[in-house]
Amino acid sequence: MYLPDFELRRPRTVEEAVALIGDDARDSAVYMGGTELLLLMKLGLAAPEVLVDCKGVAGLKGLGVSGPRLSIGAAVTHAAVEAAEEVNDLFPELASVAGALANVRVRTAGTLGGNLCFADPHSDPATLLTAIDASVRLVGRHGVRTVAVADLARGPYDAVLDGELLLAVDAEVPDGLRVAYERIVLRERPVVTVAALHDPQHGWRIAVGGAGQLARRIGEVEDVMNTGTAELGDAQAALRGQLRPAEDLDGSEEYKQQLASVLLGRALARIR
Amino acid sequence: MDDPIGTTVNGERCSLPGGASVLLIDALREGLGLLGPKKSCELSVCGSCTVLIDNEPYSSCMTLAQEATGREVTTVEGFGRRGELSDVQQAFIEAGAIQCGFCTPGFVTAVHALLDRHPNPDRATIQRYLAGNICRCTGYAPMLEAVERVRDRRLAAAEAGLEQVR
Repeated sequence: MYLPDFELRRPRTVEEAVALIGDDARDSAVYMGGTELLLLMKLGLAAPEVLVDCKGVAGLKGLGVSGPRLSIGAAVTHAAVEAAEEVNDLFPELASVAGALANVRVRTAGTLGGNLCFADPHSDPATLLTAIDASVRLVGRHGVRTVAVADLARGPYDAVLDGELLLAVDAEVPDGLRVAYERIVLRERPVVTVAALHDPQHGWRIAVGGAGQLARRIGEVEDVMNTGTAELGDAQAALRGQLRPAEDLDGSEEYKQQLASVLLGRALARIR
Repeated sequence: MDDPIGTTVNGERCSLPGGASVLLIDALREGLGLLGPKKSCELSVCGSCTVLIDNEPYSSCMTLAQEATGREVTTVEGFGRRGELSDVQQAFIEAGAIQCGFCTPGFVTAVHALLDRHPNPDRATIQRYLAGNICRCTGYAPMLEAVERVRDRRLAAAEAGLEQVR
């Protein structure tokens, strides 16, 4: 399998990158780790004329903590997220999700921001970051805007990026946060993912991925849990009513509903 | 973009074939005749094409050759000295961790990277690190045993070296 021809550009500044990405005359794609983009190109699903390699763009490799806020630059790889002391101190579950993603080679090359921009419904980080109401900063010709991770995709593999470059992923990790992340992996990507979070300020926040078009918060389950008197079965019943997973090679609608229900049970058992 | 790429492969400076869309595995196999990295899934799933760039594992099937510019690439041919196996290769033979052999170069390369990063890995760490290398013959247990052999020998050698210093 070979790649179609393309031109490779290596901007050094955000301004140069945005000028290349936002050039409507040419079909371009942001290229970071290439773990998703080159895959699509090999499979014939994408053939951009220009790959804009933004790994060398100044300011995208940062990873930092300011109080409860964690910020991860667009060029930070999964392996770097896994290893970062700041992440392991403030939000260790994100480090462990990064460290279990795909395989060690994908983690070496792939970036957290790239994973989110790819908008795969089976993304591990998207489920966890949707649950914690994380957001991304995007820069384009008209400046910088902030978009919630939950709103970054219109649908599967369809991010809302409009000639824009992701600058960083931001998450606020509240005091007293407890997190359980559960997933079932049959092949390369997880089939269903469940993230359950609880903290005194927000109460329960529960997101499910892989069992619908995109990872999303399930407010009905959160409401049940937030009554404080719910049984596990009540939460699972509320979840099943909200999921309409499509049947595919991973299994039937009913099978995926069952997986989600079991994973929710495991997650809640860990942190209740 | 047709300029040859200056890079280091298995310790030697060389030029990889140019062209933005050339994949590292094709540059290595077709450009340099290094046939250790294997083409199998070609989708970064199976690990047969694993090479190291600056001592970190990459799928050479999903890496542009240009990513290696100015960096050090190591393929399975780069381990051990001329005519002599590396300790990982030797342990693979002893443990019977090879059957058809197609996945072996990728495994050996990944194990070198694993032990470089984690000199004293427990079994869970080994399993997690190697989970992305697929073998259809061995059932994996012999690979795990091979890694533990190398780990124990290296730790014993380091301990013996310390004893000598003392």
